[in-house]
Amino acid sequence: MNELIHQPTRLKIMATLNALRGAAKLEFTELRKLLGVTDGNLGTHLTTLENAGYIEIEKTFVGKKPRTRVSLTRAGRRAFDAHVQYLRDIIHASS
Amino acid sequence: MEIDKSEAVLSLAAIDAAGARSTQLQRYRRFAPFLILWGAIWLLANGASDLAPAQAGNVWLALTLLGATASWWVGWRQSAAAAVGATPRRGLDQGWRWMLCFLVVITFQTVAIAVLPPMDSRQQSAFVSMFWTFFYMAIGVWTGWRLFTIGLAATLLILLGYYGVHSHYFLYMGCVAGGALIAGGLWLRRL
Repeated sequence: MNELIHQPTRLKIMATLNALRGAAKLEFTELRKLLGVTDGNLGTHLTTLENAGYIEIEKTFVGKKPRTRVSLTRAGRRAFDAHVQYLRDIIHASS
Repeated sequence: MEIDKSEAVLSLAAIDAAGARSTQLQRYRRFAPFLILWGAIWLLANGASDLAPAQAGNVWLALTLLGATASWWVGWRQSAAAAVGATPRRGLDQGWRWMLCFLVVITFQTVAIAVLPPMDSRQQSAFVSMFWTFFYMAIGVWTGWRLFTIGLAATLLILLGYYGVHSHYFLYMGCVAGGALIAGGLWLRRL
């Protein structure tokens, strides 16, 4: 089991990013609203996922406003798919 | 750490819910610019029809062509932005498909107006406009309740105008029905 992904907030972050089309990215503020978490909480979990190589965080400026966008890496998508398969296997094994 | 079946079920449910919200957000975001674009076209074309009825046909033709071209461009931009590796050709292909879809619908409306019993300009306007608002409702069934609501609200406003507004009907259509689409597009962009 991937304990890093299985943590509830990180699991939702990964599921949200995994549903994005192709190379699409999600803004930090959008992700925060979708998940209903605080800035600090989300930032901590994103850093954990970034350090693991599962997500990519892009920081740019639009005019003078900073913009942070997040996307899943290939390694992240693979790890997420593997974790979902692990969960399905548990359900199938016990039914 | 091992987990049991019930926790696995709960985790998969959380994954499905988060994924569904994310997908719906993306669909709304993709649809929003088209609503704003065509709302603005309704606003301008209906406004011009009210102010200069003799030029209405030319204005509608010019703005519809402009809208189809702009829709192609928006579709192309969206596909290029989302494509893995951002292949320009794939984006271009998607853009052409969007434009072709609009042309198919517009051709259908033109043919339908030709074969139906003679209609005056108010009836034509209501028919063409409601075709799109019912289309939004149908798409909303699959995409999400907000788009359905926008289509329903715009349809009711069109019917209200058709039966209740007798002078400056086109101005009403531009401001109220076109404005409803613009407001709806902005609403889709919000979380």
